[in-house]
Amino acid sequence: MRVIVADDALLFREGLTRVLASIGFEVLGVAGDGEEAVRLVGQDPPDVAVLDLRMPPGHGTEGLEAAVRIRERWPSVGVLLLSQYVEAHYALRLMTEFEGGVGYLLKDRVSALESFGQDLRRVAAGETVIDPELVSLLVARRREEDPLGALSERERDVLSLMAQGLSNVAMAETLFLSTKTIEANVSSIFTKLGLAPDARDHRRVLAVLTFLRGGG
Amino acid sequence: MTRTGRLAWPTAIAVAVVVAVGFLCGVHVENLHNGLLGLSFTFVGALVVRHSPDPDSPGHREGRLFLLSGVASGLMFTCRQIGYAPEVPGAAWFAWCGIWPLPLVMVLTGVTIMAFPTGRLPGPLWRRLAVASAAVAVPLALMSALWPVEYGRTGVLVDHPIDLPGAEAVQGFFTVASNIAYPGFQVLWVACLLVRMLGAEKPESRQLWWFVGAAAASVVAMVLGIVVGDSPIAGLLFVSLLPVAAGISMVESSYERLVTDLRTSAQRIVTAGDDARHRLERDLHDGAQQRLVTLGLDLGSLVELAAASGNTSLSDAASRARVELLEATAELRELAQGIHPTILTEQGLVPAVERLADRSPIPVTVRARLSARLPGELEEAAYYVVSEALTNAVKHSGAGAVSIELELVADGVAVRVSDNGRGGADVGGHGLVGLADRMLMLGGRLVVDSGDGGTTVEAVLPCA
Repeated sequence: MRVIVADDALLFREGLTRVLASIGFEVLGVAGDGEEAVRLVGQDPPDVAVLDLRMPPGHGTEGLEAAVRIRERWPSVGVLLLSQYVEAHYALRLMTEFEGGVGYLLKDRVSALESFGQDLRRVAAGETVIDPELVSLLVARRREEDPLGALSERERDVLSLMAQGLSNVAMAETLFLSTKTIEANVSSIFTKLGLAPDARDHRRVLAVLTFLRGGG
Repeated sequence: MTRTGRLAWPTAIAVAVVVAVGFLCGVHVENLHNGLLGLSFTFVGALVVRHSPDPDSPGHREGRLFLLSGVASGLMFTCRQIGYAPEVPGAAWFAWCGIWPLPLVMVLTGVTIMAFPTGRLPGPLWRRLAVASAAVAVPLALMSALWPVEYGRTGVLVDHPIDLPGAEAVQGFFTVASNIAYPGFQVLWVACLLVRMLGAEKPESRQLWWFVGAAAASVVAMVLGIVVGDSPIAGLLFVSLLPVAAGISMVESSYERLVTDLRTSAQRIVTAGDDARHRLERDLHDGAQQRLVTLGLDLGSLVELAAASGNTSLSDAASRARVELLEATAELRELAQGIHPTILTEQGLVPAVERLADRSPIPVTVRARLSARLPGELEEAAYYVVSEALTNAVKHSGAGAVSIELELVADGVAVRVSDNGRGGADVGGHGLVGLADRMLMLGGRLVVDSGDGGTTVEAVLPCA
């Protein structure tokens, strides 16, 4: 699997390149800012572009802007944004701007090499990956009349995984349950929360995130 | 304190005593306005001088001119008053002192008015015109000092103490000259005032409006008095209100300057604080946080290597270290975002407030009716109002729910944070005081209403 890495922090970029190589990724090139990342992708489109959210020149959301430009021109390239902070606002923006093949993770996640590798592969395969910390924050968000109170313990677990972008099959593997049980849980969650069930993972994640964020 | 500052009140009191002495000689309508002008100019001058202690400030300069004009009018008044009491020894000379300086005092008073409100004439043209009117006033005063040419108008009961030949010829010339010069002086200061008002910037033009208003009122009174009562007295009495109007506007504008100064310094304090926080967050992001994340990457590799080599105790230790490190970075992350939430500068007020709501331990409803981004300092102020109010609600109110409303109002943006807790919030405490500088800087207002039904903190922040 082929990737490019864009981050302005030299040490982190090199460390990440080394680690990715050690778990079987081919790093086609590295970039120090969004412009360079777009150019790299143009030279030889990878399967996934790993982009730091905050890069020169403005140290704002250059990574996100680069991701949008990359996807406009090379729709098959997955984009994974890394950031020292994960914000629901950006997650929702990513979910609305992209149709799958997108990920948004805390930079910390790269230290768990194996699961980071899995996340990268999921993004490359067109799935959606949302940082579990953000999801657990939103699931834990207190509401005045908490509709999540109607959910069982199991359903809450399923909801969290669903918001992170896992498919029914992946959830079944993670929770050591049958796919049928997961499917039953999912439809029960949708009923209890009043969300329209949707077969496609990405739309499902978007619906759940929007719901958790309080946007109904 | 300057010499003028120290002498201001004693001067005013001395003039008051002198004028009071003058009134012992009765009330004489032809002279009354001089006494009133003397009193009002000196008292307002003293007030303004003491109110603007800096000798280079416009208020101080103009106040000095007021004092000077007041002293001249007051002295002239009392001297002339004695002219109505011929039994007083030396009455003729007193009256003489109260009459001949009239053209000079008129020019002095005119310059005082022309210099309003800065204490300086508005330009070289006006300085030349002032010099020209002085050049006209000096020979007129000289004539008046030597011949009784002004006596007819004053009604004093004594004669001119100097008896020179040629009085009739001089009188003929003087009457014509003064009938041109005196209204000329008036026209000059009115013109100067109008020109100044038309070219004035906002704070000065507001001061001039006061003054022009009083001048217009005195003109109306003058005309009405002459038409209805066949006497200029009402108009002359109104003229002595001119210095009072001027004084009010000068004192008011010095308060306005004070408020502006305070606002500027509040702005410096707030901006310096914000800059420092932004810098600190940036330094943490690019420094410590970046290093720790890189360290996490290395520890992650170490865990894999140890596992691959079959050394389970080493891989366990490395795993524990990694978990520990992740907790440290999580803490540092919260700290950095508490110092300054990046999302506020990047995405604006509403996402930043929703971020606070996401993390609140009590349920928060956010209703935001803002479509566009607001100026940075406004967003920052609104954010900290919400943040402080929410922290207070969580810590002190025992509330079960908080609602946050953000909306555009006619004069800016309104921020309302209400909880359903026990109320009784200490309005002076709870960190809301820390927002005082921001409020002062923006000219905003903060109202805390903490009754039985809970606490509502409301801020209205005007868009500049």
